[in-house]
Amino acid sequence: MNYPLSTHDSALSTRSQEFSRRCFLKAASTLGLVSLSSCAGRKPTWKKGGYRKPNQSQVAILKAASYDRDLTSVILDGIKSFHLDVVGKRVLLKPNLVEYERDTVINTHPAVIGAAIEAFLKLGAKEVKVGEGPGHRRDTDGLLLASGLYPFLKDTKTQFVDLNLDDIRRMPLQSDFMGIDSLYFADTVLQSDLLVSMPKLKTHHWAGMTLSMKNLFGIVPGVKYGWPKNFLHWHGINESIVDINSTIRSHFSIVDGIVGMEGNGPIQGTPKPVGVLVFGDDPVAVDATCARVVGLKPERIDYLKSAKAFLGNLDPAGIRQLGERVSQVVKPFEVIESFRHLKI
Amino acid sequence: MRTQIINFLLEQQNTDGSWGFSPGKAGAIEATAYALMSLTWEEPGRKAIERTLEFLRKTQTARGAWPVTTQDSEEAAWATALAGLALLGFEGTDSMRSAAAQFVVDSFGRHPRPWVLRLADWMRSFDASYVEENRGGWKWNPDTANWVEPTSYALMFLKKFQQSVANSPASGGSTMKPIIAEAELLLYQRMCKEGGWNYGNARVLGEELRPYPLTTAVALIALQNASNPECQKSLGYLQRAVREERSALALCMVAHCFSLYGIQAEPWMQAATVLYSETQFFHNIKTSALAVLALQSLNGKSPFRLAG
Repeated sequence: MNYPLSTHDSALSTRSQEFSRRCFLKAASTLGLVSLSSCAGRKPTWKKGGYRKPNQSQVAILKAASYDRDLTSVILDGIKSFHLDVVGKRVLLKPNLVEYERDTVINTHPAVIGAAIEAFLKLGAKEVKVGEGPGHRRDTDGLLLASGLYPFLKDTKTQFVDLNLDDIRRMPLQSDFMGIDSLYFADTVLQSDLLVSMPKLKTHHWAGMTLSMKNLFGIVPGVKYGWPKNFLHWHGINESIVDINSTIRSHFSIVDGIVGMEGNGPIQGTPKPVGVLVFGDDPVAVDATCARVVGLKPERIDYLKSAKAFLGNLDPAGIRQLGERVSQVVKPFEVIESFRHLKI
Repeated sequence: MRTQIINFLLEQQNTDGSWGFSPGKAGAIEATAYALMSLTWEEPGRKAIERTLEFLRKTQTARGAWPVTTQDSEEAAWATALAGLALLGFEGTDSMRSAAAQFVVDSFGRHPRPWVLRLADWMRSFDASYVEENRGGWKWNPDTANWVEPTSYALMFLKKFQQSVANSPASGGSTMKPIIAEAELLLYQRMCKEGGWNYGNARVLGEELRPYPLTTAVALIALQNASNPECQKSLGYLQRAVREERSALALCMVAHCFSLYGIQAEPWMQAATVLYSETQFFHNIKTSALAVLALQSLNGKSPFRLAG
């Protein structure tokens, strides 16, 4: 059979770099294509005071050659360099758990998650939970077992929360890049004191990179928005990333860059050893630093371009670099053709 | 395992008659519908069933629908289809399920496309080799694309509903027939190259994507067409893939699917039982209810089974 237009691709695809599908639909159906220029020019706004961009952000790059070494010590060192107040806090670790395929590096490695659980408990957290709401898979139970995360959870008696099936709460958005006023979020996220985004260092075929900010797609509940969370795609992936992060702040990030993924990420890319864990208290600064580590220009990644205006620091001048310098650990990633312009 | 799970389900029913996805969570229509289906043939479930029917009666909207959870108010066709399917097993619910069927029928549609692309579709339609891509089905949310799971749930419900009212003059069967046919075409169109389905994307950026056992079982249950070569191809995939499956949720759905297609399902329920002893299915209500349903299907009882 011949499929001249790929619905499959277009159903998932995001708004273009310049204007949203929603704007396109609105304009095309009501005013004609001439109106597209006005959509392209729509200036998203954000609530003043809803989020305060730090004057100075900190990012730490610590070397970790493999998953076999003592990662708890590395993570403890990383957290301690931020003077993060953990004592008595309810910590929610949000790893990237997408799907499992043998010999791939799609997910945040379970050893990193296990080490983070141990580290936060050692630092005096009242409780540590792990939560994720995968975008495609409903059989999260199988993912926990196949990915190897379950033994770490069992050993540390850590509760896993499927954020797709959690109680849900509607929250007003603090910015309007998507053009909507509210989204539902998983209640466990809203009840935590310290949300830690723990992404895998990966390329992403729609967004360029998927890091600590894109990782928060997993706190948007599938029970409300489906599998995939097509509602977010329909309103634009980049726009959704910004609105979610303007509304729900991850207090800390730990990026699994021990082995990352280059090429056609986030699922079909190629494993690429980088040998680092990246820590930070500003997700924009963390993502920008990670982009630099893999040889990409964060200034050209759409969601970071938007986020730097009000969410966090993208310029090196606004980022205090701890641990290794970027130049000491840089490992350029291959990217798909449509993201060649991101390469340094 | 069966008795333990049934006791677990009865213990975890919310006071309003619903079930959440896990203990203590707010009522979710999907979890409630599966729990209700699983208790249909279980004697200890009588009182729980009454409370659930009352819950569904109270929460059905004026348009015949349900939202996904009690914490939401937006009507959802996929959740409505599952509630409707569950209600088919109970007398005295005719008006509720008819209203639900009407809502599901009204929610059927293609995904939104700008007029320029619709014009392109129309122009291509003059080419005999052209196959329309934008087929009607069901969505997770209004004004987004159609996907495998919501389309499958709607198909399961409407096909069973159609059969249940076949002799009624006001059955609405004639309006459902073309909708069901088009939605089935959508599923076949979204099938992965090796057979089977994932959430609904067979390929992205020219790369073939792999199917998942869970969504493949769901789609095959919705289609229930053993003589169709694409169903056969997908069953072949499922029989290969299930050997490595670690998800109890998927195993239970696959076992149920195999039962409906007359394929040996016991080994996969044994695998699910092993997982139960290890994890108690992570106290997931949906998985627990599906396990009971799958066990019942081994004895020929299934709320998904189509007559003939």
